[in-house]
Amino acid sequence: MNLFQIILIFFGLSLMLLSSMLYSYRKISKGFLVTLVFSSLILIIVALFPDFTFVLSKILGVSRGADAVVYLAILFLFLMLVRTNIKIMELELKLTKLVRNLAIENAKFPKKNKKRSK
Amino acid sequence: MKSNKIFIVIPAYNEHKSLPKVLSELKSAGYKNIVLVDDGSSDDTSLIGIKNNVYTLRHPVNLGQGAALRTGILFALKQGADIIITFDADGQHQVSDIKNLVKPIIEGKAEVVLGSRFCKGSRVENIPLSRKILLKLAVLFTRVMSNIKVTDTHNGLRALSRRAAEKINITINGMAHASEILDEVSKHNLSFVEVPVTIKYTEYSLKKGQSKLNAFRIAFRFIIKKLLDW
Repeated sequence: MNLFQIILIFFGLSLMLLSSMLYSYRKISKGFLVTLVFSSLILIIVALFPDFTFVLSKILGVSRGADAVVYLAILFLFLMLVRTNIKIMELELKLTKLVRNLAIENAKFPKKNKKRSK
Repeated sequence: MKSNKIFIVIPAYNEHKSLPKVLSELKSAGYKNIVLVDDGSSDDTSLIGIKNNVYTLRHPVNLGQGAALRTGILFALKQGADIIITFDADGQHQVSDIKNLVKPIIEGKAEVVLGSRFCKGSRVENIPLSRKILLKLAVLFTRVMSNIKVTDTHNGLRALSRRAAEKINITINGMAHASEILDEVSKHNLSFVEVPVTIKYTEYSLKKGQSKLNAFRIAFRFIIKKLLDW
């Protein structure tokens, strides 16, 4: 086993541990936990059995196994980016509502005078 | 005829230089229901509103002009507004244009009245060529994205009837709200007209305005919104 394989296994195990911790603290959904655990497992399998990438490459129609892994990683990262952006937008929406309610609740009204207005 | 309660909503972010003049002109013209929404300014924008005896709302953090407008519109509706005017704080809009904006709503000819820099009878002073080109491109963009035919899409001077203000939901916090408003007008089939207005660009208003690069960000933000709604 070479150093790169050890790093991959370590990274996969850490990701699995981190995701189960985040799930236990209710920081991530069940669906996201399954995605992360599944990705960690793939990572560990690829590290332990590099020939597995050939299976992947055949399924995807890519000539080299290593290329298939890179393409899948890029796709995964892109999906994560979209997900993060949607999360940020959701947070922005919540912040906007909060700020708006505060602004309306604490509105300063003009002192009344007797002049007629339009 | 029932007298209409007109509310002027002014979103403002760090506008202490231009705001006193804008508020005093509006008040001199007899508009008393002025709603200033300070969008988390770091200067004394709120204080100017309080000193000038107008409704003053303050966002504790800066959210963007779209969010400030929505806050002001919701507040005005709560106060019983019949007609809501949106008016910029940087001094480029003219108080004298308000009566022309309000007229079609009072006469029942339209529910939304959009001020235009580019329709017949309008006047634009000191507009840089690059801005003019960007604004024309924005008109084309809106025509494609929202299927609405207007001559000026990003003019902050507009009037909304109460019904229109209740229907139009501004969800984009930033500058892309202008496209979103037109999109909502089209979506809810609200009747609208454009009226010519005078816009005076000054060194200050140009400095405060949008950068050319930001125009593309605005377009991108609006496309994302359309995709998410789809």
